[in-house]
Amino acid sequence: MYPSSSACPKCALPARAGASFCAGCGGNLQSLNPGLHQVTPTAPRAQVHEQLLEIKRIAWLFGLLLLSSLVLGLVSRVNDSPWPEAMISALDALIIVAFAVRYRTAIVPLLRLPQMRWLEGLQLIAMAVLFMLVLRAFFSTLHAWGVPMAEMTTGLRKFGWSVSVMFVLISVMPALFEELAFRGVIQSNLENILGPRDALIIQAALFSVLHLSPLIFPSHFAMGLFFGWMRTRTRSLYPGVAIHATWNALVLFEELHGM
Amino acid sequence: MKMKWELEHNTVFEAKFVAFGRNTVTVDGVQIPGKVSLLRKGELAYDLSHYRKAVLSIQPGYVTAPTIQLHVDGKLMVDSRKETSRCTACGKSVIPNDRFCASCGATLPTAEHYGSLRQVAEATGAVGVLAWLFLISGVIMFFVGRSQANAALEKLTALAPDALIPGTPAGESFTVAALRTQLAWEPWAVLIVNVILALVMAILFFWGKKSPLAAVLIATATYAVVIVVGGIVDPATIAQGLIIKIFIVAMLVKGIRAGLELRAVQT
Repeated sequence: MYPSSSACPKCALPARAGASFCAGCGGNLQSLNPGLHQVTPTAPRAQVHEQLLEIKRIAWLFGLLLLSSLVLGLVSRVNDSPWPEAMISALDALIIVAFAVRYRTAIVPLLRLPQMRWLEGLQLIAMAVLFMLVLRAFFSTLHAWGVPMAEMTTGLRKFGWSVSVMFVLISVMPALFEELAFRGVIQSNLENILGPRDALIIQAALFSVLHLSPLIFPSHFAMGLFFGWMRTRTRSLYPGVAIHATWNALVLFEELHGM
Repeated sequence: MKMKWELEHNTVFEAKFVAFGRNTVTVDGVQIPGKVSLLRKGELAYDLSHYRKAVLSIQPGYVTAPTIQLHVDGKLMVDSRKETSRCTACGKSVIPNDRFCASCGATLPTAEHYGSLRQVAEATGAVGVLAWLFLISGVIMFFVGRSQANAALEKLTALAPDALIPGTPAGESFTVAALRTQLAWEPWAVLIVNVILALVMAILFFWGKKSPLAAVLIATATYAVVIVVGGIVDPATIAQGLIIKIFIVAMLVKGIRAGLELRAVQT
């Protein structure tokens, strides 16, 4: 061992008392074999900058959808016509399509029918049915506890909109565009930055919070996880869109029939 | 505010910032000439022994605390904290700016790495603070709301349950019975919503120790949604506590950047 008064033979830094290695260059002071160690890597700035830009783009998508919800919420305070909701839904769809076009290289491979054996398909359908039953039980419990839930069809029925229009506005459009936004744009991009597990959790969390009601955070977080898992498993957005639209259609059916 | 850097060759660099009076910068206890201020961007250069050049730089923060950094020969230095730095490999104490552990030779984190760790810790700390804020404000609002609801319910006792009361500006009307149910439910709804938000933030706070970037991203989105929902329920709340809101968002955004840097180093 080097005495404390000596210096490192490689970098000339005074060696510490009792030190086996140089604190400046990592050279082994005992074997006089300097420079054995690698310096701690620093974050590659270009990579961090690029990832930060990607996160900013996702934040823009989320922020625009949130802003449209704010505008709709404020308008709904003074006007119960369903027209603002229809227009905001169309605007949201446009925003999502614009982002999907921007990220088409990640989205196009997800717009293919899932390739799987029929038995595997049946398994997924069974899981989807089970999942919807669990969700139904959750909402029935909330209802039994007297938690007031907002009805989606109140305004539409009041202004005499047809069931087919309600079906498009409540079942098809949200399913299609939410899947495109969350499981398409957001999940695909976050996978590149954070890996599949964190991307799955984050897109599910964003999906749940964007529904703006803390009471349904848990159910919608679970929905986001399930749809995201389905997208990863089948490498297609269509199964998620189908299940999402079916769930929305069931909610619509229940509201129309006063269930 | 006092900052201290323990450098090679037993050099100690200190900067002391005071609210009133003159800020001072010392090297080994000797004051060096030049003026520094936390309110404007500036640099103070000084020649250390062994031909080393030190530059103290100050970048005022718009919302958060100013960034004070010391570079020696272009390399960022770690400021000495109250707690002793320890080698993660052997646990022996190390001097902050050592690049290698003198006992086992393990590589030690760089100053940038320490900075990122600190910002991530601040961001996850802000998430923890949000959890407490939601819980405390939920409990307070519950008791305030319940006393107001009880007062309103008393006024409704004289009215028949099926009598109509004009409601929202959109023209919706309530029966007295429906209004009673809503008044009784509202304080509980506020409490439940705030408890759920506190739970979400608490989960994110603890998860943030393992996956800081993902946790801070979700916390930022959730906080933005809470502000928007508050704005929908009562537009006046958007402007309420604006500085605190901006401060929290700025800390969370800083945490996202630091989380990305840490992740890039780890991978």
